[in-house]
Amino acid sequence: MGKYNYDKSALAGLGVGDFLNEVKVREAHIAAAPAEEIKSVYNANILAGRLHPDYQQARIAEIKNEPDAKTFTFVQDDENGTGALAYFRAGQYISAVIEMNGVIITKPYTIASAPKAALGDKNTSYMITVKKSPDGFASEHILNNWKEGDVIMFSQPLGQFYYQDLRDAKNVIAAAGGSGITPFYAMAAAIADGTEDFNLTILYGSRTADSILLKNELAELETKAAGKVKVVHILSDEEKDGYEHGFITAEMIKKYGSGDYSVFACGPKAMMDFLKEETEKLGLPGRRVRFEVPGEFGNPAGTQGYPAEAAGKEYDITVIVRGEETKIKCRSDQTLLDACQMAGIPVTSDCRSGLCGWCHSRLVSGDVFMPESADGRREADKKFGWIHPCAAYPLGSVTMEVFPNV
Amino acid sequence: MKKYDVIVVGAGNGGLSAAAYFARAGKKVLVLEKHNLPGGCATSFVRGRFEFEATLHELCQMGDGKNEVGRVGAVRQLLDGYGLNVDWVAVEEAFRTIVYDPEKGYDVTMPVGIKEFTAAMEKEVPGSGKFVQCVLEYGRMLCDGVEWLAAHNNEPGPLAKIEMLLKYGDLMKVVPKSTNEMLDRIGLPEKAKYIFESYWDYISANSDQMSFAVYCFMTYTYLTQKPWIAREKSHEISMAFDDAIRKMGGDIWYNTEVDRIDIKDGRVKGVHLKYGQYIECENVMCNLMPTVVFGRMVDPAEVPEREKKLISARIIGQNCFTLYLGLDIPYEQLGFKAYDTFVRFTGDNVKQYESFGSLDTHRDYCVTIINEVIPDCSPEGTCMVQFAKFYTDDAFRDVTEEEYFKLKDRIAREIVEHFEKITGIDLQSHIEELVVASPVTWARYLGTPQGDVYGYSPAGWDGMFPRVQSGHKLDHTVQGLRFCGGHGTQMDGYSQAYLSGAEQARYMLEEM
Ligand SMILES: Cc1cc2nc3c(=O)[nH]c(=O)nc-3n(C[C@H](O)[C@H](O)[C@H](O)COP(=O)(O)OP(=O)(O)OC[C@H]3O[C@@H](n4cnc5c(N)ncnc54)[C@H](O)[C@@H]3O)c2cc1C
Ligand code: FES
Repeated sequence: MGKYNYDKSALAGLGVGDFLNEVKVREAHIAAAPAEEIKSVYNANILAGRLHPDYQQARIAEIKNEPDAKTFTFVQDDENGTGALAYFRAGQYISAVIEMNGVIITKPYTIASAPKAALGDKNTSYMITVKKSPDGFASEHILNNWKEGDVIMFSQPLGQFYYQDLRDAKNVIAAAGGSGITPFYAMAAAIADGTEDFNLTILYGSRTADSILLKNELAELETKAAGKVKVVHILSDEEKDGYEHGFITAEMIKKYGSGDYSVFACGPKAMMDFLKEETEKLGLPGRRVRFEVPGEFGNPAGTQGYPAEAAGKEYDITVIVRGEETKIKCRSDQTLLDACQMAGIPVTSDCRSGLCGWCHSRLVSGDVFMPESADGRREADKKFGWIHPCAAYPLGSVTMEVFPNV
Repeated sequence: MKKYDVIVVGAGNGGLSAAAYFARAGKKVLVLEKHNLPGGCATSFVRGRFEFEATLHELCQMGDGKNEVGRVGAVRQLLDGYGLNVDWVAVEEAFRTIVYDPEKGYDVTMPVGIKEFTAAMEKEVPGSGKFVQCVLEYGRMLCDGVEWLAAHNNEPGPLAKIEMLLKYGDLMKVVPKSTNEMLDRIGLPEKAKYIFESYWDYISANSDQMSFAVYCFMTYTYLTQKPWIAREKSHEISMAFDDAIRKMGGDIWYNTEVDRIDIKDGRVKGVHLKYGQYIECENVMCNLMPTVVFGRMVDPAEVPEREKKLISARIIGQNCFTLYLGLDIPYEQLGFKAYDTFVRFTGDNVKQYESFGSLDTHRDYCVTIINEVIPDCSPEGTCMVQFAKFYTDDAFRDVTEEEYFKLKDRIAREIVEHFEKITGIDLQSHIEELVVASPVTWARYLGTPQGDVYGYSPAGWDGMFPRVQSGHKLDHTVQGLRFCGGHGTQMDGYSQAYLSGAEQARYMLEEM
């Protein structure tokens, strides 16, 4: 036809027969294949299931008392369907599903034990340490109620607060406070047993020598790790020989960190806020300073951008779940996630810090306040009006659609 | 509970497109998605200061009509028709391709545009220009042919077939021929052939297996209509779908995994949700692979014999390993310039295909840097570099739980060190965020066998043309059940999955 200017000689000897036959050829291939059982699960799928179970049932095998805290050892609970606990990276956490007074909430706890203890098909264990926190009724509930033999449901291991050798310096200075020791305890254990290979100096802040969590265990790990783990205790409320005194400051970090080092920080919110300022003084590049997710933002009143007139109120919230509407109330200092969970609507959640995106929900109408530091949304979420209710506070009546996974 | 005309299982690209198609046709549609977000592969994630694109390098057939052939791409028309509110951005370059073989190696950046592409090839491979021109003329014919076929709903009747024979006899001649055979027949010099074939591992068949017509059509489309991406990453496209589907009256439930599809006597009755609920519905569109649905989601007694045979005859596409780096250095200072780069040990993709089959031999990867196209896609003073390597076989078949994290770290390190070696660029001093997605990660998110991301290999007999001709009737084995997605008739890829969703929704509507 001359419409196209290509060299037709490349088509020499070719006909249209093969094209007209293609479906027949395909049919012949199908007919000739065996009608065998369909294989849809491969090793990658099995591994995915083991590393990322929907949930894990674990039984309390042992409880150890600590100062104002308890350390729980969990083992897999075969009877409830968990043959083995999931392997993880030292520093990751699990969310405990806690039932209190008829409501179900989830709270994250770092797995303090070595990943190796969770490896294998049987005899797996996790250790978590729960410290009494001043306004934490979940910790209160756990410390008062959990007993040996109880079965608790957990999420899969989650979080990104772990060492990555391509990214982090070989020398890590950990700044820990209170129960914030747990990820570093797991890292130290992983170094001691050869799972991880880096140098960890733990600056551990406690109020007094008597309030140090896992003190003897830390000392044992220090010995076992043969020079790769060093623990320095810092007491804020007590001066004592062999201990540093005060807070973990830039000065203190500089004293123990030399050359190229990374700072990892985990502890109570007030300490993290303090450390944010201190680490800035170190002049390290951003990639050398990592903070564990901070947890709930807390009362937003007084935060920059928060409208003063919204404080101290309670608002009507309409929550849509799979087409059904429920009316609930939410105080202006309460997150929308919290209000839902307290009302028995089990919105999926994990980090409760606004950062993981698990609670991704649709704001149908109304205004909410989302503190900038806790706004981990994707850009397009902003464009289409989606929110993370774990870090969103109502500024008036709100209608939103949430997506529980039960 | 509300009655639905149709349920879509999975809100990946195919499922979203099908749902939008149904909703626009006035049907009550419910989308069930196991994850907390729409998109499947088409998503993004936030780490620190960075929002990483999970998968999208480029969309095909997205021309806005302002290109040299004045065509509005078929996919652009489809998405505009759904009313998607997306800020589309054109990529002004085809690809960069680096072969690091010390003797036969090369490093070339190929532009978009027929003239520009031809000239760049002539410069790199003197004497190749006129052959490239010829190949792209085939591309133009193929593009017209594909459009003509689409206008006939890919099912020309007897009369139209005669017209096709007259108008597109040449298309019919080259469809069953492999890319390598036709490029050799045309006389393209070897090196130019290798460069031209660079895109191959976005489609999981090497150039001995891949239909020339399909490959050439795709490349021609990229060159004339440009590759496209979304300003706010592929999550913007997926969220725009969510928005459009709801505006047209559809419902979408996230965190809602479908456990089983209820089939009785060869007819769909409803779906069981993982958390217990059963939803009656006589029409179910699955965005999951037939391997998964027939392998573990339906009563084994209801699996048609043909499906068992078809599934065992097919080759599972490719699984992949992706490494996302957030760097604390501005893109301009990185010392590497290109949006999408293929790094390979040889230009010969038959050899590449073989070596990409196992962990021990696969050393190559592609590199994507969105900052080249959207400078402010990451915070000031930073850039994001994404590496992807596609495995042509079940690479993670023997990996144990204990090795797994170390293996991820090892592959990530291999990629980074290799890239540093061949480019002389220091990445390691700038890594602020690092995320890896392995086949296990993809298996977790998508639920596909082996963590497959490309459906079935379109090699030889299972290529796009025979699939498209079987997609209406032959491959439809259970009443009320249809499949769409990257494993569908149009092969893998965003655009292909969108087209597949529309195509299968159209067929299903005929039956509703
Ligand atoms: C790294 C990478 C880069 C890529 N780059 C490109 C590119 O540049 N251009 C391009 O065109 N293509 C690209 N692709 C390919 C493209 O992403 C895919 O071909 C396409 O997204 C497939 O879409 P799909 O419709 O098959 O859905 P999928 O993405 O497979 O989504 C399926 C959906 O179903 C859901 N689901 C699964 N099981 C259930 C269940 N039981 N119940 C409910 N929901 C369920 C999943 O959660 C998921 O959301 C790339 C892929 C990868 C991995
Ligand atoms: S639970 Fe993590 S963002 Fe809300």
